[in-house]
Formats: sequence, C-alpha cells, structure tokens
Amino acid sequence: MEDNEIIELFWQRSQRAIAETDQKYGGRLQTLSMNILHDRQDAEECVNDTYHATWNTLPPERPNYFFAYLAKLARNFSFGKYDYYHAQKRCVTVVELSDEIENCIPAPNDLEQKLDSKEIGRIISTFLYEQSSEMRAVFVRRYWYMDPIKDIAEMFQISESKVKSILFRMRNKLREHLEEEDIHL
Amino acid sequence: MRGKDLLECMEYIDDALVEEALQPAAFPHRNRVVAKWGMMAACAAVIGISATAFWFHQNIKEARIESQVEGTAAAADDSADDAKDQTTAAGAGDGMAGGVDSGDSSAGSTDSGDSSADSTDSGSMDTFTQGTIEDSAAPVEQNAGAEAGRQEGAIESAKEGELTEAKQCSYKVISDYYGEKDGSAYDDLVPEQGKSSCSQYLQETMNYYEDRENTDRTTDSPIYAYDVVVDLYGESEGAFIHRDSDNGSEVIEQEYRRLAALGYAVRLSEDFQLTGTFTKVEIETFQASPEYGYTFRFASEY
Repeated sequence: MEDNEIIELFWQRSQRAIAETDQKYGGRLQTLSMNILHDRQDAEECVNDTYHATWNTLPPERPNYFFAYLAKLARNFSFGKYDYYHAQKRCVTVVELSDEIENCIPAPNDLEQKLDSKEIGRIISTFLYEQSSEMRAVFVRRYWYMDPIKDIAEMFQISESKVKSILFRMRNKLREHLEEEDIHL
Repeated sequence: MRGKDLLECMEYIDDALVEEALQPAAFPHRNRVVAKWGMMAACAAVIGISATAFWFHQNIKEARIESQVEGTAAAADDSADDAKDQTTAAGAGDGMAGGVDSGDSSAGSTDSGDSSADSTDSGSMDTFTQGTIEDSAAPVEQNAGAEAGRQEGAIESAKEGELTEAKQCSYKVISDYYGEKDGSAYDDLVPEQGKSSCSQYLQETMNYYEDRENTDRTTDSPIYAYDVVVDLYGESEGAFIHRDSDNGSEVIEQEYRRLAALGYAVRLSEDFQLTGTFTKVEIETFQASPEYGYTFRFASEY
C-alpha cells in the first residue's frame, strides 16, 4: 500500500492504518529502535508509542515523507527511553556514536552562538545536500539510523574500511562547515 | 554541547534525506565489462611480453651457437686457407724455380750455349744448367707442367675442402652415450685446479663421433657438439662445489658468467646446475680458471 493511502486511512480514523503501517514499516522502525536501545521489548514499546503518536497527530498532520515522520517519532521515543533507563549506565552504541560525532563540534569561544536543535538540524541538512548522494546516505545511515558499520558496508556493497574512511572525512568536513559558518554548538 | 546532543539534533535533518537513505543505491562500481576487458588486455600484454622475452632469449642462444659453429668453420677455413697459401707459396716457389729454370733455358736458347755468362747465381744451379740445357729443357717443361697441374690440383682440393667445410655447417648435438652403457661404474679422476677432464662415457662418445666424422668426411657429415654438465671442483683436491655448499651457488653463477663471456654456450639452470654445448675441440682446449677443476659429463651420468 502506498504511503498516501495509509495516511488517508489515518485521516479516516481507520484501525487498518496502524496494521498497514506496521506491515510496511514495522520492521525498520523496530531495527531503528533496537540500534539505540539494544532491547527487543523496549524497542517494541517504542514502536507502539510511535503508532500511538502517529494516530494522535494524523490528522491534522499530513507528512510528505511518511516513513521519515514515523522514524523521527520512533527515534525520539527510543532516545527518551534510553535516557530513562540509562541515566547512570549508558549504552555502548550511543556512547560510541556520541564520541564519533563529537569530533564535528568546533572548539568553543567567547562569541559562542547558541542554536536550538532545529537550527542545527537545518545546518546539517544544508551540509549534507552539498555532498554526493552516496556520501550523505552513508552519513545518515550511521548517525540517523544508527546502523553498525558492517551493515552499512553490506548495504552499499563497499568495505568496512571504506565506510570508516567516508565517515571520517564527512565528520571533518562537517566541522569545517560549522566553523566556516561561525557556528559553535 | 556534547556528542550525544548533536546526535539527537540529527533528528531534525530534512525528511527527504532520511527517505533517501531508507533505500540507498549501492556505490557505483567500475564497469564490469570494462574491467573484464582490461584484465584480458593485461593478460594479453603479459603473455606478449613473455613470448617476446622468450623469443629474444632463444635468438640470442641460437646466435651464440651459430657464432660458435661459424667460429669452428672459420677456423677450418683458416686452416684450409693456410694449406692453400702454403700450396700456392710452394707452387710459386716452384714457379720461381721454374722461372729461373725457364729463364736459364730461355737464356740458354737465346744465348745458344754461351751460358757461362749467365752462370752467376748458385753453383748447384749452374751445375744443373751446364751442359744439360738442351737435354733438360724438355724435362723442365714437363716438370713445370706437372707443377702447374699439382698447383691446380691443390687449389681444387682446397676448394673442395671449402665446400666440404661449408657443407659441414650442420650441427648435431649429442647429449648421451653413443651406445648402450655396460653398467660399469668408472671412477673418473678429479681434475686438478686449472685443468679439465671428461668422464669415461663422454670421452668414448667423442672418440666415436670423431672417427665417424673422419670416415664421413666426403659426405655431408655434421659437426658434433656435446650437451654436457660441467662440474666444478674447488681449492682442496676433490672438493666438489655443490650448489648447496657454502657460496656454492655464487661460485657456479660467477663461473657461468665467466664462461659465457668467453663465448662458450653455457647455461645455468634455476637449481644452479652448469650445463653447456661444447665441441670436442672446445672441451680439449677449454679455458679453465686456475681456481677450479672441471669435469665434463653427460647429464644422464651419476
């Protein structure tokens, strides 16, 4: 079923909307949540929370990119659950990815410009659009979908070392981009 | 801001980017057809270079053997030329003598017996000319004719010799004993330094073919060469230089280079066995290094 048809089911308040969404995107949402939480039960809860939130927001929302809309909700719920459960003991994957992407943060100075998360997201989007489609897809798969390096290598049919190399160069470029924009996080 | 905060900020990137990464296309790989043809071209190039190198090596080898054969033929030519020169010189000497004789005879004939005036050379000649001039005139002419005939015969034989030598340019390589080995193990002597020797089987084979060459001299008999293994012996008596011994391979390679530089048709195998193609003359006049003794043998021996 097409995304527009599923959205239409949500607008019609049909119970089939959630079943069709789960059939089409349930697995991917589960994987995304699992990449953050590493717990099947927690991931299932996050996916159910996502469907509930979608039910509550459609209507009035009518997203252009339905999966991105769902995935953002799932990712947000997953990070919320992660923070709740791992306030003291942090998940290895999140620590690893946080350390990696921390390299993109320019050094602070006195004229530090504080930006909100949405503005940072917009700047990162601008940066990603300047890159080649393959490069930005690798970056998004790693830092948005939080996929392991191995899975990304298989997905793009390249070696793991090449994935690491691409990510390293992308992080450096993003830092330079943020510095050129005189933006400090 | 910490890394985790930035990671959470990623949530706000464009939905289009998230959708695009949902089903990403694989990285474009090099065109497989081009890669396949490239590999084939590379293989063809490698084969071509190898074939050229092999052909070049073979040409050098053949040229070396040809030059060796030509050298042998040239030596034979030189000896034939020497023989011809000697014959010609002898004929010329005879002619000169004949000239003197004929001069005397002509003088005798013109002076009509007043030959005493001409008798200024040697006593023997004088003795020869005096009183016998009329009688000896005919025999002298006969002798002169015989000498001329002999000269022509010598030249013809020399020419025949040249033709024979030219015909003998075919080259036959012997690589094993001419007959059936009787199974007896010969205890070949270890050569002294600076000298060379042949195994019993090789020596017998060379003698056999030399006899055959002499017998078949009138026919188109080939020049015989022998495919042999050259064993080296070191400083102390009987110290066979083996490739596995200390510096053995280096010594053998060094000796190989020296012999090749001298023009011998030698070869060095990958396992450092020194072999070569030698004529009997080359083996007999082998230019041994004063540091080593040499033994020539067939590869089938030992």
